[in-house]
Amino acid sequence: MHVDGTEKKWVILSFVIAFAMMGILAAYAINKNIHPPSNVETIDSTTLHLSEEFNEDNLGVKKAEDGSLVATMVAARYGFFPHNMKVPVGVPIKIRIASADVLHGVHTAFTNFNTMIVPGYVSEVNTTFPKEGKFPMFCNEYCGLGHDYMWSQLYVVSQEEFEASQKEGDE
Amino acid sequence: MHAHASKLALANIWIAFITFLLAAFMGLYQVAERSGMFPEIEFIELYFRSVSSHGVIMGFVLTTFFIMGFGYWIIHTTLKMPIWGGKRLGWIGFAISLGGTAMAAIMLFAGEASVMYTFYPPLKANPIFYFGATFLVVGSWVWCLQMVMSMNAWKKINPGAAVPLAMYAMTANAILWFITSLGVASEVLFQLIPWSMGWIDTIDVGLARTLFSWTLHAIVYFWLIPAYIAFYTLVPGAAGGKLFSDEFSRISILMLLVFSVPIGMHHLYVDPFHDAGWKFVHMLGTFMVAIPTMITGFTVIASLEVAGRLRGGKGLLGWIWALNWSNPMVLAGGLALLMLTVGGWGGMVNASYAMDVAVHNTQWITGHFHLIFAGTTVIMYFASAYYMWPSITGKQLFSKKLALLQLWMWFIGMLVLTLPWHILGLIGQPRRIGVPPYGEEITAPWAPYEYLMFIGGIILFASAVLLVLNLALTHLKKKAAVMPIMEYAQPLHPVMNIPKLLNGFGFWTAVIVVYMIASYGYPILQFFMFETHGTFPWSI
Amino acid sequence: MQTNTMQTSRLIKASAIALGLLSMIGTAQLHADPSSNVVWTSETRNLIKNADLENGAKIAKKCAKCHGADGTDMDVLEEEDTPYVAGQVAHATYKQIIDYQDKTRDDSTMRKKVKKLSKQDIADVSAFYETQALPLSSVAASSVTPEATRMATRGAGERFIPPCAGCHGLKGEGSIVDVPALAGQSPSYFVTTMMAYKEGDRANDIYSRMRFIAGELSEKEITELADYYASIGTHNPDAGTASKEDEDTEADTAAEEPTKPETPDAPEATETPEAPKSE
Repeated sequence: MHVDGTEKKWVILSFVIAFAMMGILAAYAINKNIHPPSNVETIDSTTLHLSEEFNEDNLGVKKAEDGSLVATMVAARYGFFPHNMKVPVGVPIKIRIASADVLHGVHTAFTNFNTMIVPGYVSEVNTTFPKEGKFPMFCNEYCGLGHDYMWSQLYVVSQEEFEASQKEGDE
Repeated sequence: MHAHASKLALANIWIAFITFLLAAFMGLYQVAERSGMFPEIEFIELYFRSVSSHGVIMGFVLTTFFIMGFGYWIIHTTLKMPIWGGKRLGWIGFAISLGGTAMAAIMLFAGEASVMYTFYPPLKANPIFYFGATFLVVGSWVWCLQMVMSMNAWKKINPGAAVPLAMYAMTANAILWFITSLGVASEVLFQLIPWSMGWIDTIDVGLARTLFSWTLHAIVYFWLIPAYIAFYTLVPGAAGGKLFSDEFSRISILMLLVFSVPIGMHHLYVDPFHDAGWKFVHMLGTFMVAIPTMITGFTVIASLEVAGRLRGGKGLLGWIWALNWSNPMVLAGGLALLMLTVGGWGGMVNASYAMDVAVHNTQWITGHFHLIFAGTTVIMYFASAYYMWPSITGKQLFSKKLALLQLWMWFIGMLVLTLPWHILGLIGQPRRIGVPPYGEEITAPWAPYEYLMFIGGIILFASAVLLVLNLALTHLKKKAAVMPIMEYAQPLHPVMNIPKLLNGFGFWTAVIVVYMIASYGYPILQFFMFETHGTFPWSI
Repeated sequence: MQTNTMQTSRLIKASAIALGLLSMIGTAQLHADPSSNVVWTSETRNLIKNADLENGAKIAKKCAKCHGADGTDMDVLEEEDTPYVAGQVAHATYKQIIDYQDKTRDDSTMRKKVKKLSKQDIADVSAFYETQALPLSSVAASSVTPEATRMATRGAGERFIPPCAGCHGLKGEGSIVDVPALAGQSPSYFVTTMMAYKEGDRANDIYSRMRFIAGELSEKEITELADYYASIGTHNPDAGTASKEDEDTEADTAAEEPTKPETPDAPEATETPEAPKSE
């Protein structure tokens, strides 16, 4: 089989490029813990509002026992609950969100908070919001006629303001 | 034999292009509606109906029927023997696919299946839609059988000879399609149909999405390989040169065949029902499948360089200007390569998790697949149709100038449509929204890009009309004095002894099966191993 | 005879008991009761799927006094807190009646009326009502404001309000699973209900979805929407002050007879029982 010299070099280069990219992704995954969501957890979406974690009074941002932040959210046609969430800037936060009905997606533009919300499963995202400001959270997976309107505001505020609002009982 | 093969090819390709024209009009409606300039046409239900119909036609009907027609014509013109299965079988397959398409189309146009071309549950369409989709796919399996058996029949009477490259690649494509369509077929047969008919109450949405992801990536290679066939076997000859390497073309096709199916989970990076380990495995495979495209790029550009230098081109890049860009196949090849470069790098972004999470389900994704599929792939379908038409119809193409104009318009329209689309995704616009209602503060920055996209849509629709006109008017011409022949490019180095592995598929099919079990076995089985909570049907 | 001292000590005792009870309740629960106990499991859905329409018709006869015999029975309902129930989505009716029983929807009148109904009874009467046509339009299309039509069909995205039609159906016919039909509903009942959501008095909407939307809407918007929905009921030749020069608004074209939504498992009507003569 005839193999042209330049072609051979290019084929090897292609393999090198591909493996280099794989290597970079692997390195970031291992060293910086940058990897896709990995928590596989089922939940019954049909009875979601009666569940312990996703009942109506438990939504919003709270401190867990170990002091870390957890945001509990629900996606249901057509809104994200709680509607307008406040989170502190620069603090790692775990966001747990479940669907009460159909497939949804949630994405806050210019952040890496972007996840599918699949009925029957809990989606868990670990992230840190790096910039203060007001950010829209859009539903980005077609969920019915009201999909366009399914959005919410995320307020990323200073840690002081966040602590103050927690004391007041805002969510 | 010619009459039968040409009728079969024409029937399939015309169904593809007529439905394409319809869907192109829907695309124009959508981009006009999104521009915000025509409030009178803004109806959310109509928009989603259009997007679903447009997606199903472009993704499942245009492609499947065109590829089947192209495949039949390749059998006839490269193997020079009757299509396996005789006169009847091809028409039976065509009828099944067409019947299924009609069922699905009626449901879509009636607004009973506004569930997008991805039809993710638990949004439920009318069951007739799912039955229609099943028949469309099953009919195409008849074609797959005919491709494989025709190649086998030829090999029996030509022992040791290299299967003509176009036939080898298209048969690989048929095998690829069969294997990859099993995913969506399983989802539809075992989940969506029983569930939409009320025979079972609930289905697991995670399993449905996993089965669909099995099909979702490799289907784009089912669409892309015919474009690569044109790149390898039609473009070099049209350019007046030769195919740089026949063997590497086969290697590239085989790498696509093996690496494209078991990587679907990159469509599920942010889904919660698979853990990062499996997503990582699929990510590795996704970068492997970039390699054959890079090899293809080399092969095609090298072939063009050979042709350019044969035409007197000198210097490092001088051969580019020397090529005969007034040949539609050459022009399309060049334009497609440009779009492949941009679209391909966009694909690498999508495959890299950390970057993907910034663009997942934003308009970047829609821009990406329009550029790479509607751009690179479909422009080669047009060029292949122009190329095949004389030998199929016995008449010279109605107008070469019109073909060139149509191809340029498609290229320019596609860039004007998709480049703003990519930007919209980067600045945060989500996917699948009819009328962004978020208020001026958010939507005002998006507006200029939406206007540009409207212009792109107009150019593209006009181009679509010109394509259909040109092909249709050819039928009205007088028969050519000399029967036109479908010519395929000759390799620069004639193939002397073709290695068995590059001339058959037994081994490679076994490799795919093993690889599929390894990469999808547990991810699918897991749904039967832990307790899942199913979901009931929902309407839109 | 009660002296002041005796009255005071009784009051103190009663307060002590009340406080004691309250503190028990307070520590016994980590969170408040859910807004509704209704969940759409297979079991619950099957109650409606296998409903006995004859039994439902029988029960409905008792409800006719306040709720009307069917959708044409417009005179009976003079109370602004009594809705039309004809043609209502079966699952929606079911949920509301259960919520009355569970007290997650607070109405002592209704609670008394439905106290003795079994879950199957409730499913039967709910399914029966769905077989009826939706109520007649009681407002002319010309009385509907463009703003109301726009809110119902296009919502107000900047205020996070989806179009009503997105959940309640393009013709106000309701939707899966328990989203109620609004077409032809009594305007005064519509306003009463939305204001109750706005003030939080009505609180059986899961995840406060209606409370949020009603909270965002102004009272004027609510009143105009009430007219919109009252205008798109079953065609009524005598609707409001209909004139021959009606404008061709969207509400006009939507005033065709709304078709039933594709709710799950609602049984087909095999025979429509005769409407009792209205008094």
